[in-house]
Amino acid sequence: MASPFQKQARDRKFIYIGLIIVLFTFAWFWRHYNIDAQASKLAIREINRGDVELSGSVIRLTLTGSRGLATCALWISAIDKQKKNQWNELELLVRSLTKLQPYFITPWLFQSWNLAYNVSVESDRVKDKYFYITRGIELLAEGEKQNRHHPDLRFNIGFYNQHKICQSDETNTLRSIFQLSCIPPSERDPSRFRVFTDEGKELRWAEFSSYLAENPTNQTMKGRIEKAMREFDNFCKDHPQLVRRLRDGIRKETKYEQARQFSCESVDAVIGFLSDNQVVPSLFEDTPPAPPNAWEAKKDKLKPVEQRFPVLPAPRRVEKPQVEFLPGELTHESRLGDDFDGFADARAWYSYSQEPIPPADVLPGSTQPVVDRNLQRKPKNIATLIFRNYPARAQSYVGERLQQEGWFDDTGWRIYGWFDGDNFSDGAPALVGNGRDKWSLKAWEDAARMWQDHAEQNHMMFKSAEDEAVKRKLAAEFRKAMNIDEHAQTPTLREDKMSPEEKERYQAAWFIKELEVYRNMSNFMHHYVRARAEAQPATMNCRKQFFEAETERLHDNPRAALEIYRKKESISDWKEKVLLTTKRIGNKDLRVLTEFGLDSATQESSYEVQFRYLNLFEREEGQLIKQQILQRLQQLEFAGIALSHTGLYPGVIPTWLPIVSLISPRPFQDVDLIPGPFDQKDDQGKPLIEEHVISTFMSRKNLTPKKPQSSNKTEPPLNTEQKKEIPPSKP
Amino acid sequence: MDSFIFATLFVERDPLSWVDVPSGILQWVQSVGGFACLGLLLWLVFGWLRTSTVDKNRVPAWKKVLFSTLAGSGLILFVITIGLRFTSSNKYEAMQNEKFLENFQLLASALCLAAILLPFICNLPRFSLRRIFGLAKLSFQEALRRKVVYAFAALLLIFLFASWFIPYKPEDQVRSYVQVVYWAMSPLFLLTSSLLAAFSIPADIKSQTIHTIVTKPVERFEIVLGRFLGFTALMTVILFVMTATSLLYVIRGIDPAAASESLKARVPLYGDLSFLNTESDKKGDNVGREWEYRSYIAGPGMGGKGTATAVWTFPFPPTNLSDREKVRAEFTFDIYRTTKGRENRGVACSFTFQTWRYREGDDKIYEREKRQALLNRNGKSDAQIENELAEKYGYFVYPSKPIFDYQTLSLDIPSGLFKNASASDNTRANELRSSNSAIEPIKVKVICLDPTQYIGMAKYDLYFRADDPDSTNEKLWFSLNFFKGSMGLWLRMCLVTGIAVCLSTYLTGVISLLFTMILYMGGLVQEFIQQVAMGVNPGGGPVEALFRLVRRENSAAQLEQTTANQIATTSDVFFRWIIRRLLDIIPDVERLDFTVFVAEGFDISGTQILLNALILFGYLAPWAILAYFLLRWREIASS
Repeated sequence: MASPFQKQARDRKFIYIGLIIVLFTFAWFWRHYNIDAQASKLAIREINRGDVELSGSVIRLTLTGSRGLATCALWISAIDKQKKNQWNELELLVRSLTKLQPYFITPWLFQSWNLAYNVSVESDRVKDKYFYITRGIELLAEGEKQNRHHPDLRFNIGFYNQHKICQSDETNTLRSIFQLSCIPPSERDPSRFRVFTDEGKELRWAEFSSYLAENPTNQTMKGRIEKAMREFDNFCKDHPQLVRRLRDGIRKETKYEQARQFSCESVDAVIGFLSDNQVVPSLFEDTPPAPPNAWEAKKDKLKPVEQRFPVLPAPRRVEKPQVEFLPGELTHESRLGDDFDGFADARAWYSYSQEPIPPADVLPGSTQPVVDRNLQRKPKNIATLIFRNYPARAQSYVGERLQQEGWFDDTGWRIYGWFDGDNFSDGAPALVGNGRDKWSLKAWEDAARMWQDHAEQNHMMFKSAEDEAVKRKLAAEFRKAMNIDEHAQTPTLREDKMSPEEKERYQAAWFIKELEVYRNMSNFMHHYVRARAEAQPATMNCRKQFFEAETERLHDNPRAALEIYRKKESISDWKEKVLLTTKRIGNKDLRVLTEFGLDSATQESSYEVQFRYLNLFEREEGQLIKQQILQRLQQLEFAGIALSHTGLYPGVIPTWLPIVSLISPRPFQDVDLIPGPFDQKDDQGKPLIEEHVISTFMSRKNLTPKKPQSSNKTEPPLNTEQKKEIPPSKP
Repeated sequence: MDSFIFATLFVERDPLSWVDVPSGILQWVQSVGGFACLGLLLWLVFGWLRTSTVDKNRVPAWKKVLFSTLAGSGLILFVITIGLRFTSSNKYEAMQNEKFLENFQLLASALCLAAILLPFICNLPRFSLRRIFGLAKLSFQEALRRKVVYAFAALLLIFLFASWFIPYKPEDQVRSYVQVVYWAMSPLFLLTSSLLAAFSIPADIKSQTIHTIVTKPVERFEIVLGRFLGFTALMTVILFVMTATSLLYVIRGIDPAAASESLKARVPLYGDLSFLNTESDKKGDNVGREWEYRSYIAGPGMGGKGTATAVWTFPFPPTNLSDREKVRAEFTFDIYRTTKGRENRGVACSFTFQTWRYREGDDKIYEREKRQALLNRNGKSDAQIENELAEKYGYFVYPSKPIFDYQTLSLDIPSGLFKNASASDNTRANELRSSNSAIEPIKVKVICLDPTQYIGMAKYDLYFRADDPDSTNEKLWFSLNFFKGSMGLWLRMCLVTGIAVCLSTYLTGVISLLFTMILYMGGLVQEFIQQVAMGVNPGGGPVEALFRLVRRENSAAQLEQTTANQIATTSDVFFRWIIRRLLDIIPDVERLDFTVFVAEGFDISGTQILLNALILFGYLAPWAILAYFLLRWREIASS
């Protein structure tokens, strides 16, 4: 029998235990059904925001209340390290910083930019620049993992890829290293292509022929050499874009600029490049180079996803109200081909960044309100419509890049200067990249489709010509009723007090106004029209001819360049199909080129083609023409002398002109005696290339605008049969 | 192309040398003497007046006389010094008196210090090394019983998760590992040491176990010393073990690129830097970089004053350099580009090496003779010809070397040049003496050859390798250097242990710990405190900064001349005076950190360690004296 004290104590314990259970249960339910639900709704739980990073959480917890102090100290220190160019320490501090404040977006953006831009630019070697660019991108990708559904973070990953890898000064090397990042290390192992003698001395590729000639009986070495050559052939066939870039570089305007960029003149130089960049941030685990003469094909192991470079978005798991943008877009599970580049990577991120943005509203450029604060956000630093056109813009860049590097269709490119007779070791022509996709054509087709989708989703085009006519009519009626002119701001009125007709007119007026604003703001029509035009085989064919002509010009083959320009599918076709808009009525395919031909950028590039052509023409055939002009002038002079003998001196032909013509190399420099193929007017009397475009071009090239030409001048001959004809000149 | 090395050592403060010792001692006497004077005054007010007559009578007469003489004269001299400082009628007079006053103040300080040290010195014969050792042993065991060693298991966690913080750039591997290891070890060691030291004596006093010691014939200072030595011994053992473990962590699986950069211990031979045809002979041009560590020389035709040249003057080289085939010169320059330049191509510079025996015009003879020698080789290689000519003329030139930003590059110099420099040449020495020219053993002249670029350099950016750069024992030297690097941590550990033990003789454990931490943290930001003390920090002193904060004014903007602002700036003058006094008790922690030398692959010389240890001793000695008096006056079982 328990004493009363013991009983009291026992009762007290029961009460305490009961209270604990009740309070605990209440707290659990309260937390589970109230607090957690609210936290999830407000997206303030760590798991709602993104991947939870354990080490950062531990550090934050241990710092208790002094996190702010530590953050400030780290920022100050990071700035100091940057000032002192101590990049290694800077990166260490930046990583610590982001661990302390992982849900504050600005440090991710600021410090990743710092690494990818400010730090990378301080390095002299392109490889080091590339390293810091990748560090910046990876830092941002880490931030994105911890902060899901942030369009700005996703966007910036894409932008760094686009801007730093594909649009920087050293882009040829950076694009090449970027491609190395995607190739398995054993596949690009320099040992694969290297040959060593039994004494361990490396035999350069340039020495192969002489070595074999001196040692015809050494079958071992012959076998090694053949194997290396075979492997290199295969490497070239597998990576045509890389080898072309390494050999040729990307297309520059002048020979000087072309020569300044990095390129490999020989296979030994390629091996050197592969060796210098063997260890780069990559998709695959690093492997040491194979021992001399012992390279064997092997399967490389992929790195864990978070350590891979190039960084790609995770496979989609779209939660409503988000909508998957561009299904089938690249993810980190995609197989990356030889044509994968920084622009394609950027496009993948731009597409991914569209998903958290609420869908477009009824007006052009408008966006529906955010309905789920966890899953939806609007971009902070950029107009939403411009933000929305980035995926399509990136795809246009892919097309541009392929054109810039000479990949137009499936005809391929022949490697020159690396192999004997420009043939592979099996004697076949060293042709790579052929029989595949129609490179740039396909890229532009995709771009055209993406621009079309963008236009439809954001109401950037009218549904039909009739729709446009109706809307414009209604808008005009609204303006008339409101007594406002076309350029005045459309007033904001209450729709609930309007009749259905008034409402329709009001909405049409707003639609037209917003459409104009956003078309101008995003330069939409230029991109839209261009993508559709470049996706036409006719345009592609012309571009290809221009590229080939330029290639010949840059390789000091002006005659061959002229021949290409004079082909029908070159300048002639361009003029007929792109610039002469009135000739294509009835041709549905060519109608898409109408706007393209009127676009000032197209006109400027056309004028540039003409400019180059005329320069070549003058260089190659100017002398001949000059002689013929001189002959005529001399004839006139003789005639003048004859006339003077008869006392009828004409006075219009100065006697010193032939002498000056002989002395001066370009006697008619300021007088455009020879009009270009595009220096004419269409059937409506409008010049094919407008004056303001010409003056823009001239000022870009630092040239003096030529004197206005008369419209009835004849262009230089565009076919070889005509080349000896003398262009008519007016005395 | 050369191999690229990123190992770049920035030495913003000149390393200590034996030349600095005498002036350092004088400065120490002056600073510590000032505090001694303050201590004397406090003792007079709070100690002497309260001492009972019996106690006073127990002090021997000679001691009283000597103490009174020293203290009295010291204090009087101090008063005179202060008086003279304030009575200087004008600046010119103040400047005239400055040297005299300094000496006067030094004498006053020395006298006050002697007065303070007198009781301690008199007590010295009573100290027993055996007892101190016994107490140290006890402290060692006590710390062990407190399971302090377990705290260091946390370091293993760092090793496990270090890769999260370490960037994987191959060249940076060693550097990152070393930094992370020391970065992790330092707070762990320092915090544990200060915790141990700060709480030990107060805990004993609280639990009254100290009575078992103080009631025995033990000098109280022996307790302080015993604790300090015991804890230091324990932490030394732990540090040794942890350094060895960390070393294993650092040197496992090192990338060859990283090994070629940092897995070594270069022994640099530094010279002095001066400039020709720039802003001044001590400084090059300023290109506007925020960090003014380096100054710049322009390419030809840019400066408008002739060819800008950076000139390093080296002392006589050690004899072992002359015995080698070649001597390596390493350098790291900064490029300030005014044009983009070419991709993957550096900026060309020329390097000219001359010894003190080189005469004007020898370069032409050298070139002529070199051309002839190259034509008639007689079986000699280029290197042999250059070596012979360098030895003969004391001249060697490297006409064009491409420089890359922030990368350590090297040149191999014929050892003949060093033989020439080491040889005796009375004729040349007399010539130089008669023309009042200094003997400059070896000079290196650097010129930027690119007309559109600037090259930036600092004194420590170019050096000769006194060690063998092709040594096969690089890893061994690195390991040794790694242990030397941990000596820096050991010195810092001694510092915090010393301060904490001394403070804990009078303060409670928590306060002692906090005080120690504040002092240490102050040491970490000493540069900023110095700026505040000198009034050169942006934003001004505390009152001025408060005004700016409240008014939301830019910290760089000039303050308006209002009454409130004048009050603020004047009160900040007083604040700065206090800060300047406080600066003397803030330890120079930065000097005791050798991590950067290990991380960048530079040898930490024995001289550096010894001199830093000396400074630490100098810093801790006044604290020990303070502890001596504090524990003596503390009422623990006092008779």
